[in-house]
Parts: sequence; C-alpha cells; structure tokens
Amino acid sequence: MKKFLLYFIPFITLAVFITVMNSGAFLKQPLGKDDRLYESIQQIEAGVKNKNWDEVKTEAAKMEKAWDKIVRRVQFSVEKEQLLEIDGTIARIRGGVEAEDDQSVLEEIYYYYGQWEQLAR
Amino acid sequence: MNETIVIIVRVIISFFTLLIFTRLLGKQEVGQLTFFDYINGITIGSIAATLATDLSSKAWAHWLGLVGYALLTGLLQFITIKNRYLGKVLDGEPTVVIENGKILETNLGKMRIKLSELMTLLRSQQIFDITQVEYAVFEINGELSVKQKPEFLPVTRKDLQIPVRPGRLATEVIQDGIVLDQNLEQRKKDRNWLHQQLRAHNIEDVKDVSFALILPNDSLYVDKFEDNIGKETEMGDYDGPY
Repeated sequence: MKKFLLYFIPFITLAVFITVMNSGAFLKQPLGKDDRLYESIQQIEAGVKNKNWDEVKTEAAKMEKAWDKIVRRVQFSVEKEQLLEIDGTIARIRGGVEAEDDQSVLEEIYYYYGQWEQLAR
Repeated sequence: MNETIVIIVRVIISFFTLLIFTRLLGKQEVGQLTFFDYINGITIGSIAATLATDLSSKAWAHWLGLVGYALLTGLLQFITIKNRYLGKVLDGEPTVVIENGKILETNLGKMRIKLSELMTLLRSQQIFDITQVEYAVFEINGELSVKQKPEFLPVTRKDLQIPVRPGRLATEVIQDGIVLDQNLEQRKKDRNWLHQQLRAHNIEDVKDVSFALILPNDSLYVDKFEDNIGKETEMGDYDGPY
C-alpha cells in the first residue's frame, strides 16, 4: 500500500496540474445561467442590428457579469494579456452601447469573436 | 485576474513538478555533476521560476518546456548507463594529466586546463611537490584525483602489521528524548539496558537526553539537553545583536 501511494501521489499530482493548466477551453464554456458571455454578445449584436437599445443595454450589463465569472475560472490556464485584451474589448462594447453607436459596437463585437476563439487554445 | 491567487497556484505547480522530476532523475550529488549537468540544472530551475511568475504566457507552455528538459535529461542518463560508447561521447572520460611527475601537456590542452589551475588543484589535495605524483587524473566532474608515489604515502596499520578489528557503524538510539526502539533491536539491546547505561551517566529520565548513540564498541555516547558550558568557549570578540 505504501509503495502504491509512493507512485500514485506524484502521478495524481501531475495529472491535477495538467488538468488545471489545460482547463481553460472547458471552463470558458457556460456552466450556469449567468455566465453565458458568448450568447450575451450574440444578443447584443442582434439588438444593435434591430436598433433595440433598451434590450442591448440590459444584455451589456449581463455580459460584464458573465465575463467577471469566466475570468475567475480561466485565469490559471490563459495568458494575462489575453484577459486584459478581452477586458478592453468588453469595456469598449459597453461604451459603444451607452453612446448607442452601432458601428463601433459591431466592430468590437467581431473583434471579440476572434479573441474568444483564441482564448485558452 | 487575481494575480496573487494565480501566482500562488503556479508556484505550487512549479514547486511540486520540480520536486517530482528531481526525485525521478536520481540522487546525483552536486559535487559529482558534470559541467553540462550543472548548466542543465540551472536551465530547468530557470524554466520553473518562469512558470511560477511569468503571467504573460500560459503555464502550460513553460510546464511542457520543463517536462522536455527533464525527459531529455532522463534519456541521456539512461543512454550513458546502457551504452558505454555513447556514455563516453556524452559525458567525456577521465584524462591522465600527470604521469610519474611529468605533466602531459597534450592532455592538459585537450581538457582546457591551465598549468596554474593544475597547480591549484594539486595544492588543494595537499600536494606541494609535483615530483611526488605518480598519476593525476582529471575527472569528468572537474575534480583532480591524485595517486602519490608509494614512498610518499603515509604508513598504514597493514604496513606495520598492527591487528585491526572490523569496523561497525554507530547506531542512534535516542533523538530529542525519544527512544528509537527499532535501532535498539538492531543492536540486540533493550530499554532495560538503555536505562542502565543512562543511570551510569547519572540520567534518570530519557527526556533529558538530546542524542544518544551506541558506539561500535557497544558503549553508549550520550548528549544531554543541559550542556553546562561556561563562557570560555564564546567566540564573539565584542557585543553584537545576540
């Protein structure tokens, strides 16, 4: 038993480390109802195209909350710069929504789609 | 991103990965490391440090680098053990640099050692007269092994035909007031014998003993917590912080 543990503990330790370092791709996906970032942004895109600014503003608040949740989960497996960049994009989307500037919001949304693809890859 | 938590997690990953890999790679002593082993060790340490603190790149990338270095080091160790020819190519081989008091300049040049360095290495082995040297071998870990001519070697008990008793090891039986029963048994003694011996040293309670050994001649060496040492041995020459 002691010999088994001698090999099992280091093996399990390394397995846990590998899982933590590669968990980003899984943990960026929604695990609840208030962390659906990608869906929120798709809703914002649809709202902006329909000029439905009230709905877009509600969705933008949800988007920020969802991103905060996701950051806490993926921070151990992604680059700091990637998180900061998405932080910036989300702030710019929020700014565009407040200014009701559909052109800049759509630009940032498509920039975000690219960043999301690259996150934890 | 909470940098503090991320760094703590990365430090745990880096520290224990390094610990596991170094244990897997064997117990080679630092003094026995070749120049390559030494540099390789520094590189692995440097990657581990980057893994812990460089948040600008993924932990996984650094971790893979660490695994790569550890695997290659393990592979080279395996090759040098299994294949003598490749072992020689990878590790190098010991080289004779002095034979019968004569310096072999060609070999010295091959090993890229200066004459002054050779003299320093000889002096560090307490040899101040090069004519006393029968052979000096430069080892792959950078040390110099010296065999003196027989006429300069110290006399041994065998030379004088003095009978010797086979040597044994000393066995620890008390550590910090705790009796090590397993070691007592090893020397075929019991607690009664131990208490008897302690009483002979004027010790009633085993808890007063910091360290005790059964010496090779079966007598007991005892060191108490209470040392009763005066100020004569104090090394300080002037008042300091302690």
